[in-house]
Amino acid sequence: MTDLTLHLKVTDFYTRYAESICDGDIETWPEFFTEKCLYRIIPRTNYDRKLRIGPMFAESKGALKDRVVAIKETLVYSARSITHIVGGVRILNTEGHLLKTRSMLAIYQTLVDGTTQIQLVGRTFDSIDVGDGTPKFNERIVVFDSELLAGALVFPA
Amino acid sequence: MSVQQLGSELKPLKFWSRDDCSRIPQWVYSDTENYSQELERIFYGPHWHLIGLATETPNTGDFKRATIGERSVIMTRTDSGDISVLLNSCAHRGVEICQAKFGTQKEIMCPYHQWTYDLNGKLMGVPFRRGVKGKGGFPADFDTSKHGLRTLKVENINGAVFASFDHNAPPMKEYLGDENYKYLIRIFNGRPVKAIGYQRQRIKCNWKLYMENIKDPYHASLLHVFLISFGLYRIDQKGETVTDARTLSHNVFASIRNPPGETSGTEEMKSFRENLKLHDMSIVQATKEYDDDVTIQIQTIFPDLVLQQQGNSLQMRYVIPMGPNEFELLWTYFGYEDDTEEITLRRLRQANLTGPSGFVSVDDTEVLEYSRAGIGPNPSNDAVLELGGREAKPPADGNMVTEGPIRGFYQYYRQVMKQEGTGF
Repeated sequence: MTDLTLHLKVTDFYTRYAESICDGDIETWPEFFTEKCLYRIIPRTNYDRKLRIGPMFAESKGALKDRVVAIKETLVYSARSITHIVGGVRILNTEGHLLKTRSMLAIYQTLVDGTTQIQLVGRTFDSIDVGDGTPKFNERIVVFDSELLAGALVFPA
Repeated sequence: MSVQQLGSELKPLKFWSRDDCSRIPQWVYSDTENYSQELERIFYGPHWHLIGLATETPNTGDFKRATIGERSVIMTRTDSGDISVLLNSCAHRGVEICQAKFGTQKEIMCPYHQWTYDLNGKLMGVPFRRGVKGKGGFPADFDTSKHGLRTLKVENINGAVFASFDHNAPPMKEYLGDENYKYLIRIFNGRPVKAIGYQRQRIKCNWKLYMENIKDPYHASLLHVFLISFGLYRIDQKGETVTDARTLSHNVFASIRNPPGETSGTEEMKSFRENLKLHDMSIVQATKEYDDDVTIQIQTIFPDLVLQQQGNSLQMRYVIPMGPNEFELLWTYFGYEDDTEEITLRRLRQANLTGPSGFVSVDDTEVLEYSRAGIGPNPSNDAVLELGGREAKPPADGNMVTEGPIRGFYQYYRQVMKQEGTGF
């Protein structure tokens, strides 16, 4: 695969990933990950100090499915629309079938009766497994700039 | 009588409709004058506030910025190895001296006119004290010893650092009462603790509603579908409710998780989901760390701190008021310095229950904002708190089917806020 084809494939993957969260089909979200994935959302202040606490942490696709069950079945929250703007997708290096990648991310949230607010901005440091033809996140670390969040962060990033 | 004397629906007279605290007038959640009185009497009065963990500033000169009420303070490790907590406002013109969250400095210097203080807040020097080429300068009798940074009273309890603006605040052990103190040092037991990370959220509701939320086991068994459906909490689980006898405003719920499969009490829980199973059980698998079997300890320390053990997740939630209608919730997650990677991972996994995306905490964040929406426009209404009776005293058998701790909070609150000639 040429560099350009691979880049297009990765960009397309990021786009479809964002759509899975934003377009109301959250159940498809875990399918963008490998079985033994690492997933974390973390404020930059913790990340820079090598502290690992953040709003979400999962070490398996199963844990991401549990997050989906919580979002759909158990959590109490008001209705909202989420829009991800993804940019700056770049392949940093390739090791076998693993691509180290990064991207810039802005998430907008709109509550019922509310104007649109920026919920989170940051960067993602990822590892994508392209082994079986369909890319999947082997690792996704979302580092967001403001450790201060407005209210709850219900949906994944 | 004129309307002014009677009050009106939106500007009610500030009184409490009953002597007991089974009714809470809703203006206490929105009135700005009342709020500023709270800052003065509660936050800057003889009460203790969590500043941080001593290990956050291990070496001489290390500092951390913290907040009490609306005031910024600086916690610093001094030359003697003690911890000072100083008002973050220059004694010269009031400028906030320190903006960094953490750092290290030999002395504390205001960026504006470079007034310089030692690590205990003592003013060491001011530029141009004798003027320039014989011109200007400070009066000969200017006394630097009278212009230090305001110092707070500090107590370090096995690594948890508390401070008070009022040097007459009773020592923490007396402040909390023996029973509550016992639970504080169950967690801060002398094993050195370390922060494993922070989370912060802004929640649009009055700060007191957060403390009420934590003092309210009623909602925990109803609102938190995740907890009840996965068997992590039941209102009937074995435990105790401890309330400080002096103030009634510090309290602990300590309980032991029911054996798996036991579902009594769920018939009245409309939100109970029987068939939910976790794909990844690791977030609810805790190991025993203490000498007892307590799996959940939730302690509220008046006015603004929650200390929680949920399995292996240890957190402090600190409430920072921002006007009557908003507060910041600062979460400090911690462990012990000698933790293995395995136990740290348990703490990190179990942290998924709490914080801005917590499987349990999201519910509270959202509902508190609904509280603000419902309460704000209706200051003349009363909240009704009669679960477990009308008294503020804790139930003799320690059961958790009670709103007693909330009534206790307000009994003390009224005592602190009481003003002559009002209906408080």
